[in-house]
Amino acid sequence: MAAPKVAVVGAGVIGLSTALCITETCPSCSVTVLSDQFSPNTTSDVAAGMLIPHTYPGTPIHVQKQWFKETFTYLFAISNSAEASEAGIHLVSGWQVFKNSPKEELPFWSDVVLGFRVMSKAELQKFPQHQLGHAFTTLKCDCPPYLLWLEKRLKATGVQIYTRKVSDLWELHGEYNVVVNCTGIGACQLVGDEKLFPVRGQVLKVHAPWVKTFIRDGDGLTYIYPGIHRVTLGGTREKENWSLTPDPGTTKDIFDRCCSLEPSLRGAQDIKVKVGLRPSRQHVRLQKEVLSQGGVKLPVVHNYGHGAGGFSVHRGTAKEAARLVGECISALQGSSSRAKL
Amino acid sequence: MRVVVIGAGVIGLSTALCIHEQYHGLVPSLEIEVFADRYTPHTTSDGAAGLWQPYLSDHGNLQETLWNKETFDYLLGHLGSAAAKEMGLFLISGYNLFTQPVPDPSWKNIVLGFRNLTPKELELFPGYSYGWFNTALMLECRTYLPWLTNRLTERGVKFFHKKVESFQEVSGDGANVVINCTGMRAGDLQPDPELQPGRGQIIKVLAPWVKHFIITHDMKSGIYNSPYVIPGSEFTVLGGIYQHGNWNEEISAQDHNTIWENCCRLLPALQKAKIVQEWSGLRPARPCVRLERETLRHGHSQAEVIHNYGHGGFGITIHWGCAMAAARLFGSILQEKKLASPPQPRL
Repeated sequence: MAAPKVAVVGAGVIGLSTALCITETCPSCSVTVLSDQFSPNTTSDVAAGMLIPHTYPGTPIHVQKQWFKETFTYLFAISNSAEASEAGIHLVSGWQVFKNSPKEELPFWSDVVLGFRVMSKAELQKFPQHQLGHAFTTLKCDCPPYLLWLEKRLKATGVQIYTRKVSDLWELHGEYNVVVNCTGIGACQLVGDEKLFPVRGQVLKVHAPWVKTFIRDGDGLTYIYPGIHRVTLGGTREKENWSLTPDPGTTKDIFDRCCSLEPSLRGAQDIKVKVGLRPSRQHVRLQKEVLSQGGVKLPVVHNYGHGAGGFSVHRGTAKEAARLVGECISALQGSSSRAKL
Repeated sequence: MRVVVIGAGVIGLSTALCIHEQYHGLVPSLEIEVFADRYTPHTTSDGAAGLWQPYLSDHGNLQETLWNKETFDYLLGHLGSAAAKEMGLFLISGYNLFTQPVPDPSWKNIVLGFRNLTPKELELFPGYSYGWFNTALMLECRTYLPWLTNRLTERGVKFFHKKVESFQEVSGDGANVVINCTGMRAGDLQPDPELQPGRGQIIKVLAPWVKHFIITHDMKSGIYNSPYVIPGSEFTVLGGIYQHGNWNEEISAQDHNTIWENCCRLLPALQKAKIVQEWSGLRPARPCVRLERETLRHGHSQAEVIHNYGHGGFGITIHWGCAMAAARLFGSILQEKKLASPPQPRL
């Protein structure tokens, strides 16, 4: 087979990182990224990009930990290099505080992040309503910079990137040998996945450059994540809510909740409100599927449904998806050589 | 009762505020005036990054450790208030790096969450094999000094832009108490061979992705002669120069190169940072802070002087503890002059 042609549909953090992994594992492949939205208009752009994993109920913990570890290691190396500022990757330290003691004493990722420990009494004095806390250092991927950096890396390896709305994966069968589906919440319509549902998140991105430390309430609803230029204040987790319109009442509620954790935020300026729909699922759909119509086959690798944890596991799932693409290509090459007999 | 404070850096302004807060109620005639030839943003304090961190060792100077603690606790108490942002005060975490194990510092229990660095964290800093992580505070003088000035102005304190040439100049003019917060130039008013410049130079850059302070230490070359990176609310300060006995306030190209190369080696991403300003200043270094009373006699008159200078590279770190101590000395002066009595115990 001549250079296998792979189409990656979707240009959020999953699509772009998957495309990059494919170029790394399959240098002879011709990779094209197709998407109707690019940074700064993807779901990834709304997210703070904090490396704090979300637990998927349907995936074994050791697999999730492996994905997180691979992602953390990859980004750690970038944060330590001259490219860090361009890639938008930086270390940030802070606290996760709990009003009620969490079920597990230690989260599964406590030995992957840096310097994880239980907060001291003196540190907890800053949070009178909270009983217990964890202090640690982790990484943050700021978007748009990270997505733009991925696009730049892709273009440097010869990947073509096109704005195109794909309404049906089958429409790609003539042009591409393998299709990779990284469409996030778009997979609901694109492949009719009824197990995929939105969890609406509204956030505020504010100018408060004196905030250097992250604070997250263990209930996951209130968080303060300092980025390069803006601090992300969150948030909401509204299941099955498809609205992308910011809600003013929610804005005030988020702001008040964050100010109660960090009073200095009252002085925050230039509040921008954003909404994203977390593409949520019991487990990430990371698998091969062969579509067929009238004797013609189209191998598809699905890599979507990362919900609240996309950034935390993106590189790990991208590598697995690239491996599956490799399997698809081997299968195609095997069958094409059989066809020659 | 007329009090003249000489010096408008962090020491002068905070001492003035502390004294006014404590005594204006007890002494209705209290009038405080500040005399200085340099005001913010041209004071030595303005050049400091603003990180609360004492030197590694207090050399048995327990008094200074207590003043440091008093300052930290005072600032920490203000963190949750609406004033924090206007004071230029915020929390910051970061790293102290060493090439060999060192004893824990005197301030390990003053800061928050003090711990040793893990091996994985040390991977971030090749060449360093040992270190600490802790959460401390930043107090940026370019914001704090104007805040202090506003608080003082509200209280009716007056400011004069004037270089005071002698204590007699202000005491002869009717000042009952003179507070000497002249920092590096205290020697102009009264020779003090123990006061020496600790020349520093810094480069201010735009590097908003840096969220931690990183202070390296070279036990052989001494404090602040090893690169450091301190992120502020707007700019990040790169430094690592401490030249004892050097009075030159001009920017040195050689020092610039030393700072830039060393800091970029420490944090490669800094290579892309844009330089916005360079500054050089003289830390008013002394074996210990001079914080004491002195009665100066000139002819038939006498004036009480409270000295509060010689805070080296830890002025911001120690300022409030010293201001409180100076205020206590002021109180003893008032008692002697029978202008105020200590509160009587209620029986």
